[in-house]
Amino acid sequence: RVVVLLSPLPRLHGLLQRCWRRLERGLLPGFPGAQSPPWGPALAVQAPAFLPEPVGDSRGSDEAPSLLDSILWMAAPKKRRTIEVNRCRRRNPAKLIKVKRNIDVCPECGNLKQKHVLCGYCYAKVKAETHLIRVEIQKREGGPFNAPTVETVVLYEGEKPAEKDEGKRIIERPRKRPSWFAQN
Amino acid sequence: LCCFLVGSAWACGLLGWVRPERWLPSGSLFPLSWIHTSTSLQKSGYWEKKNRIVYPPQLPGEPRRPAEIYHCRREIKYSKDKMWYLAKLIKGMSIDQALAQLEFSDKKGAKVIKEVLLEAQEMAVRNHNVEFKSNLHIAESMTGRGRYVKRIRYHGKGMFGIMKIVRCHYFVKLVEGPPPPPEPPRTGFDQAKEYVQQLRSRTLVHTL
Repeated sequence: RVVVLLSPLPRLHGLLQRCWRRLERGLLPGFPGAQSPPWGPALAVQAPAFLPEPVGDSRGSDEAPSLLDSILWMAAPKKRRTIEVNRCRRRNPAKLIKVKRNIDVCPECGNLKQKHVLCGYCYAKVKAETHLIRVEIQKREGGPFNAPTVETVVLYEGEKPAEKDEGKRIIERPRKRPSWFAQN
Repeated sequence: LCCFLVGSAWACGLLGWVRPERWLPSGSLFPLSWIHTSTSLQKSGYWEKKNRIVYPPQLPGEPRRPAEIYHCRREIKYSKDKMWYLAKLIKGMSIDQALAQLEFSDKKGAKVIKEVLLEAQEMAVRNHNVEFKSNLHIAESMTGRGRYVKRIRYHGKGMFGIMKIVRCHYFVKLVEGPPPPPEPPRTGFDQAKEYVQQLRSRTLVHTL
């Protein structure tokens, strides 16, 4: 017991003892059989109804942080990248264009071609001739949805239809047969 | 700023304070050779003038000087950084190999460079006395920055950005003869040897 002083007035002494007991109960809430209510709710009840930031940590992290907070953790460059660093990145061998080793010469026309691709010149040649044949077919048919149910045979100058081309549709082209268009 | 000059637009742009007509004493005739007008559309560049140098005929004992052909194309609508990759690809190749590589490249600048190389080859055979058009190799190929133009690029929500419309120049120098052999890459051993050589060649300075 700390209180040693005994005031001469008995009423004051009793009041002091009661105050001391109340303080002790407040400081040691784990005291068994504490009748007085704990401090927290008592203070909260007396406080005003709305509080700006009462207990910020207890509300949890379910709210997304505002824009002002998010700026703090967004990634941003710290220093300007020097031209030397930029050059190392732009000129390293992975970024340079690689030399192609799959280019050959087309045996037909002599132009360059890639090994796994058709020769561009020869393809253009064939495409042009095919276009002219299709123009002839369109003239013969005269409109869409008129394709016949039989096969088509293309004949050039001086060629006659063979025996196996009996029932087939014959398209004539007024020029010499090109060397690449084989006749069967 | 300098609106007093009637016929010389270049002085307004370059040096506004230079007034050649003020240097002449009053009363003298105005020589027209002081002022020259050059339109900004066709300024004759440094690279084009390199084709004009003429060497004297070679003496019998001299080693043969290979023919050099300079050609360029200005204001190509392409980025100089992207064009640089193609220029780096064909540096040091023979002209046939360069044309083959450019033909099968997917880049936009490849078509332009191919045209430039074919033009240069034609020029070489016609004007520069080159015997075989395949006997050329690319000594130098460089890109330069053309004139940029700023424009507004509209974004959403009323925002805007300023974009640059970039253009580039392309320069090429063809030299007659087979391409030089590629130099072997520098190994660590070479670097170490050079370092030791540097250390050995040190001397004492400011001493007796």
